[in-house]
Amino acid sequence: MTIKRIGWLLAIISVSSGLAFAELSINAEVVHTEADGNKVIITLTPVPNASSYLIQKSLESGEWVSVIETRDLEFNTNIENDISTRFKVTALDVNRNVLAEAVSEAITTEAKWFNIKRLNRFIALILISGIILYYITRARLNKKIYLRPVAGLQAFEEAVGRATEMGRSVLFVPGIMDLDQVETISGLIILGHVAKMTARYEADLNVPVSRSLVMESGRETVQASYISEGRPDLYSQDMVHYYTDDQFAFAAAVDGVMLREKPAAVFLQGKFYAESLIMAETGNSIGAIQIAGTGSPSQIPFFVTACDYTLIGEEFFAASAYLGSDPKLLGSIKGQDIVKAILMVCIGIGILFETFNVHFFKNLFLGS
Amino acid sequence: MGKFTNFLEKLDSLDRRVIFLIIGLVVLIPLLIPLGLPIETTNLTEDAFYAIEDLPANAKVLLSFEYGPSSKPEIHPMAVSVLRHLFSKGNEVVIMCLWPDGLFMANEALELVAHDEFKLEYGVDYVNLGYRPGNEAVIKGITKSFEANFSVDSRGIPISQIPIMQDVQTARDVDFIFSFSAGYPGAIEWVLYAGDPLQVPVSSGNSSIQVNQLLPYVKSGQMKGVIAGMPGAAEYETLLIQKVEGKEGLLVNKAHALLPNFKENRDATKFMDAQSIAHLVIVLFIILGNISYFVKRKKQQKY
Amino acid sequence: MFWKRTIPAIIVGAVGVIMLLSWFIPHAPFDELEIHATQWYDIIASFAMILGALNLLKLQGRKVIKHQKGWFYSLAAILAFFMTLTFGFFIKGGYYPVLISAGDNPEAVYSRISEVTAIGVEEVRNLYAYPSANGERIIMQKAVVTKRYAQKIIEELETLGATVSMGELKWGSHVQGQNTYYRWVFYSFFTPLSATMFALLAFFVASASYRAFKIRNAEATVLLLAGIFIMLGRVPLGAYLTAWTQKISWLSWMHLPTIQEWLYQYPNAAGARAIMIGIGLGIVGTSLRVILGIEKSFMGGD
Repeated sequence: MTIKRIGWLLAIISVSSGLAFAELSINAEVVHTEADGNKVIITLTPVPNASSYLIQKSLESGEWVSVIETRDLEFNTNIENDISTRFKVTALDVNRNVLAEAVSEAITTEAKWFNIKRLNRFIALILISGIILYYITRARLNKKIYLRPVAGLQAFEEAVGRATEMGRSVLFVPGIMDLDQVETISGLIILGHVAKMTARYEADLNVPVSRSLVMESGRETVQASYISEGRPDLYSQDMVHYYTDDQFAFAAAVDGVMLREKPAAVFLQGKFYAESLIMAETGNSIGAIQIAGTGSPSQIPFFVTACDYTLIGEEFFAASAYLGSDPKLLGSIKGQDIVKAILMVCIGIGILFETFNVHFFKNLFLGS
Repeated sequence: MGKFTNFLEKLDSLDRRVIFLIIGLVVLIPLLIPLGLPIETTNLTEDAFYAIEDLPANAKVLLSFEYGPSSKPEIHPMAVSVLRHLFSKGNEVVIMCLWPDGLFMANEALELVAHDEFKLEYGVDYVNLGYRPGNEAVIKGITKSFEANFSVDSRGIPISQIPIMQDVQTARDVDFIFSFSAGYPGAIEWVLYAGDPLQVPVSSGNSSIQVNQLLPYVKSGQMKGVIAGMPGAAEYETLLIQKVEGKEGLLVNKAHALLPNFKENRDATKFMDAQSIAHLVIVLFIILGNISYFVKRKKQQKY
Repeated sequence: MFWKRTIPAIIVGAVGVIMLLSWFIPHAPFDELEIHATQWYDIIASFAMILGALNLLKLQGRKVIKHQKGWFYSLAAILAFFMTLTFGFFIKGGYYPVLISAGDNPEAVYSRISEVTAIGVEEVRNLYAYPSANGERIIMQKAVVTKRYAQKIIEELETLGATVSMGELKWGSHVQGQNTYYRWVFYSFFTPLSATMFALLAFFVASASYRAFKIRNAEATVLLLAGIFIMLGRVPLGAYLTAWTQKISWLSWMHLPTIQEWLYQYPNAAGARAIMIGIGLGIVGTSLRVILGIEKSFMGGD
């Protein structure tokens, strides 16, 4: 009996002393599901009387920097990839006296070579590119491709012809944004086609631009067009000229050109913002034939209201294919249309599933 | 009757300068003689308001100023209201600008709200990191490091020396992102490059015309509401005043004392009278234009 | 042709493919490629601005020299250009007195500072009591503009017994500093001009609506009605005019803001989404054509 009692006493003492002298420890574990790899879960074992825990991490230089002061025993943080990092925890009481300290093992995080959360978009990219490339190849093999007539694109030649007959100039504005916008590149491509027409008909071409790089690119485009039409003599560098980067100052400058020179044809082809209606209305007031095209959804209504013809959305990007009639370009438009049809079917299927509260189809398209 | 019909016919080719003059007058008169029309709030603005209202007291909010003097009448009142809302709750605010003009707008808003009204301490309660060129590259950059992109703030102080930035190393460390934007870069870029990847909630205040493009993001939950143009700004002002008047939610002591100031300086609400009458006149012009069009068409059909 | 066409096409293709794939690869060096590429582009565009500026000066200068029609507007443009350039890079303004010690006659000193800066005397006293983060006692809220005027104020304060030194706003942050020349240009010229141009939209919207919103066919009628509902529903007047419908439950849907919000969030958002999908596909198609070298005309190719 006595031995039993002594045994129980010893057990109680050892457990109590274990509790009284619980050791502070910190564990850092890499979260392997994160693509950029630098997320770490920190877990602490608590210490009695601790009111907060100060967490620090080591830098490459060996210096310790503060991460957070917290009461949580588990939280996430980020560290730099490919650098061996240790974490130190300092348990503090209410008077900010140090109760205990501990340091974790060194960990190193590494970014992954593929972000698995973006797999669905990678597959979409391959599919879309594949479809477009397939139709480009088919077009190369002399397969005829039908594109529906677009009134705005058919009016290009008419507009330039009108300017020639009236002895007035053609004004072309390739948007107000820089070359990093695809709409600006599309606008310059269309400029190339319009420049060929003005070279052919010997009409004056005036291209005010809002960015210096667009000016340089526009000059190359126009020059090449005039050379290809055999009229390099008609080309002048000053056809494409810069005014200002500022949105409304540029609109004022273009309006001034319209009111003074009264061009017979105005092309507004590119990326526009709020100044679109100012330019379009001014063009309307001078009686010019106006053809607009933009990839800015919010400006399309203004162009539709104020211009004679408007290329809406995809039509603007398809303009180069229409005007050039190159089979490769026509093939890419066909490919885009097929992708659009697939998307429409997906939207229909998605609506059906969501109506019946089945979410797996929608989740296929989610990403981060 | 014949003269009246001829008059209606002539209206079809009314000189636009007459329209400009009438619009000028109908905008000017309500500004001089306010009507005091009551503001009714909509879901879009309420969602944005309550997204900020639900933030805890220790939340840090990143505000981005992407507008200039041209869109100031629409967006500046909402910037002032949002700052008042955040400071009323005691939240800390980090400001940055992706437009060069945005820096001036931010300083104006901060001078009015942070300095004159709430008398807050720069660097502790709020900071203005200033403008950096690079558009969305800056947004992508701050998802990795604020210091790498904003080594000094707008006053030239190294951000390592700014108390409020001690716990804010990347965009992940803020609790909410609010963009005041009039174009590019703007709210869409914040959603694409910061909000969605980092799962930080985003909302924005925009000019009316831009809201169209943002609605898909709002409907999909990628944005928490949007303050749509001047009407949205007026709604936000109304919601803020209701909150402070009713002493609802988190409120610092100063906020209630500033209520008369909030009521006095409500630019968007004041301008809504003029916008209301202008819209009504445009609708009347459209109806008149259609009457004239029908009269003309009827006459042409006769012959 | 090899250097002018082929090499740029290869660069465009290679960079395009690498940038496209880097979005899927979080590992270094791909993770920061996008940021670096955008920054490189910004640096190139910044230097290219010089080309644009020279072109502007050349064309406007030619108009002035040849006294072509409207040459005085061109002269205004050139003067404005150089004025802004000067205030941005050469003449900063933004000098201000920094009070180190108020001396034996502090009230007189505070009073003079209050006159110069338009801050109340009580606030000046408080600002002096608590130095700012960088140790300066009283950063003048409204910095004086010229060095000469700042010096004049310093001398006045020193005769009152204060110890004062000269402070100045740093280059860079001076553009937004109080009472600097650049800020004066921004608020006196740029702001009203920008606001005016934007305000023109109101007039143009009215004239465009008057001209274009005609009931020519069914679609035009739908457009017209939607436009009217949205225009009236968005403003307080619409809510005020149809407030009575809220009192009758079966008529509450006729409340203009309710109709407007439904139109805005459902048909309008659906249409916007559809156009954005089309535009997105157009961008993908155009980008692929550019990367693959099918489309070269923007570089001066065929």
